[in-house]
Amino acid sequence: MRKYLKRYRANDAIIGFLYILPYVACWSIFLAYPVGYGFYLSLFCWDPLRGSQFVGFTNYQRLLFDPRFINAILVSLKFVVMTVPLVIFFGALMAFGLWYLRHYKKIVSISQALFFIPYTLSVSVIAITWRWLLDRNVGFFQYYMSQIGLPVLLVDPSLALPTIAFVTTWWIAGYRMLIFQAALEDIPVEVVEAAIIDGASFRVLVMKIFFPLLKPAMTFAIIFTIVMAFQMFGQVFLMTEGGPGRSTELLALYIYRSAFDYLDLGRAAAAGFILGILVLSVSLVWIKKGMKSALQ
Amino acid sequence: MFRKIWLLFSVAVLSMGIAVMGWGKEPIKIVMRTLWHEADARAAEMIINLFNNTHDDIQVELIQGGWAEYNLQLKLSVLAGNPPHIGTLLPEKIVELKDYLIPIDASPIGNLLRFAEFDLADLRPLAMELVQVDGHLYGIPIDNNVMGVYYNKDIFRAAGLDPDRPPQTLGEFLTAAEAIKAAGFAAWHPDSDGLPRKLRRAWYILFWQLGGELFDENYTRATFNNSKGLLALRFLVDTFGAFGFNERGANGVTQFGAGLLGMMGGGNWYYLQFVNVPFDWGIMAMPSFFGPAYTRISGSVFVIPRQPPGTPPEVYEAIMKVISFFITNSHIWTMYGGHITAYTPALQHPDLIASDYWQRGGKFLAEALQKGLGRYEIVHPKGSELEDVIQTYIDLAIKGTITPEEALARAEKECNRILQGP
Repeated sequence: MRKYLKRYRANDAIIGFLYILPYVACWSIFLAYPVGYGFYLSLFCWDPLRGSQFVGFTNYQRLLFDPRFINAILVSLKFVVMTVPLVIFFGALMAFGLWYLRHYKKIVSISQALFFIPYTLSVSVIAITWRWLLDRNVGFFQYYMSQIGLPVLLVDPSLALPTIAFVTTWWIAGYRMLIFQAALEDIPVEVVEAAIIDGASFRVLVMKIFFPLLKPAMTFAIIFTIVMAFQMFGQVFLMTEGGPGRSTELLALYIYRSAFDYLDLGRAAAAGFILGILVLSVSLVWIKKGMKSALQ
Repeated sequence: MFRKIWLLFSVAVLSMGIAVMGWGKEPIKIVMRTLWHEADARAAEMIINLFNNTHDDIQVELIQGGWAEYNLQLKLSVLAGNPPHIGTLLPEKIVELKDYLIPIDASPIGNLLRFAEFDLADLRPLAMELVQVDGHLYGIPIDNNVMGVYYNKDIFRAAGLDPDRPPQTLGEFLTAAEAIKAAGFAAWHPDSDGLPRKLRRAWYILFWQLGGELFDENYTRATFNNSKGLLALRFLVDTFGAFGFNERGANGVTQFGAGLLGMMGGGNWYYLQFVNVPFDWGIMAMPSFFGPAYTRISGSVFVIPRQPPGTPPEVYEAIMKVISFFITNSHIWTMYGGHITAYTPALQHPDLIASDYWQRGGKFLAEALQKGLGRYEIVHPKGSELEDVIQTYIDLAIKGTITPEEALARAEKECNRILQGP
């Protein structure tokens, strides 16, 4: 009997492994290997023709002394701090609004489609459209803003990054809305109705019912948005090219320039690896926090 | 029987004849990959189509575009052993990529110039300046692109200025700009769409005209943080400030195309963008703001990326045939692409002389080149990074975020760090 069980378990493990084999293979080829190779590359002064030279952690050391890299990290952090709350707030606001109007099916369907449409557009379409809308000379929005004395958003170094954060929010908040909507639908209506009958105020409803029950969805949406914000590239590349000055040069743009403009792949790989660690650390902190509160 | 043998014999002889004469032989395929993407791409297509239609033994496959990552792609294609036969580079980038190129005068099959159907002496000396590195020829210059000034003749008339006599000196320029401003138009944009790299070029021009040099001879340190650099930058800042010739962040191309801008600095390639606008306009050479009327130039150079070992000699010969055809027909390149051909005999081609581009003012840009008034930007393996640094601070100074003094000091410090290491 024991022998049989042992054999059964071994077979089970093999079958289990075979099931996940395609995923493991893809993961190894498309993720583990590139990440590993990226790290390997970051330890070299890349020059394959004359022979790349092993330089250890010199590329990392150089980055720490590079004010441009430090600036890129700070700009990225600022962008994350600006974008994540905005996206989560507007995503949640739209979801709550639609939940409140859930009995008006037509309104909900039309609003849902309207809020979600921006997310279906590619980053190039978004960035180029907004760049033109905010153009100094021919921008539709910029024209009216200038009429009331507002500054040129993409030309002002202190306003360019918040503007891009706003555009990003407009682009991706619709998807977060769907996440929150799905989570709201899982909340039993009876619980909410019972709370209302018991005289719960709006604040109590939100803080004691909605917020705790939405925490897993919120954690997912926050992590997802943080990762996306750290990796953001298309908007700044197409809208401002990192300017004015370097006020919108995000880390991803810095990496792109190091690799493709300056052909310094070693430095770009090192910066990419640091970005990876940064994203991973922030995500892990949030996951841990989310799990802790879910267990509570 | 005898008849059959005779017939077979005849067929065999005929087949051998065909084989010997090369009938039915596959043409040599040459892949040309360029970074051109606008009017120049269309002009290249015209010349290559002409070549393909007139040559049965060689056929060119033209792959164009991909400006942003072109240099890296060229490098990687050499490493992968699958490079195009012909590539194009900016002349300033040859020093950066020469290890990936075949020296034309010292190729695996010797000096390829023996196959050239043009005389090297017919190529403009200014265009030849950067293609010779370490005593070897790494490219054949196709052209120089030049920065000049586009001016709206209708606005000139409205401002009481002579549209056939655009300003040539600082005094004339300021008078014209003030008159245009008084007539209710934006007077001047120093470089086209006003992107940071364009404003950097505009600053270079003023700085060069003042006799400045960006770096010392061996590129060990920046040499622009001085009174000349400052004067040039202040002039540029004042264009959008004290002089009020335009507004910060303005896009000169949009303004000029809409007939709202009197004068716009810009590369020759904008010609085709404006050719159909409903007003009268012309092109002039860069005025003398502070001294010799230097302007910024760049260009395109044909290069041969390192070919895999065992590439047959006839391929190299075919490459040179294609390059020669392009060079000797480069009047088409100038007429439709706007860049001033480096092959000086082509500048005398009657079609080019009669063309709208030439008459509108393209000839003045060519004259400036002939006078040696063109200056290349930074020629250094870290040139792209140095340029990025300079443009960042020039841009901030123009936007009014930092002072011109601060901009130059910060740019100098960062450039020196790049040149000397951390």
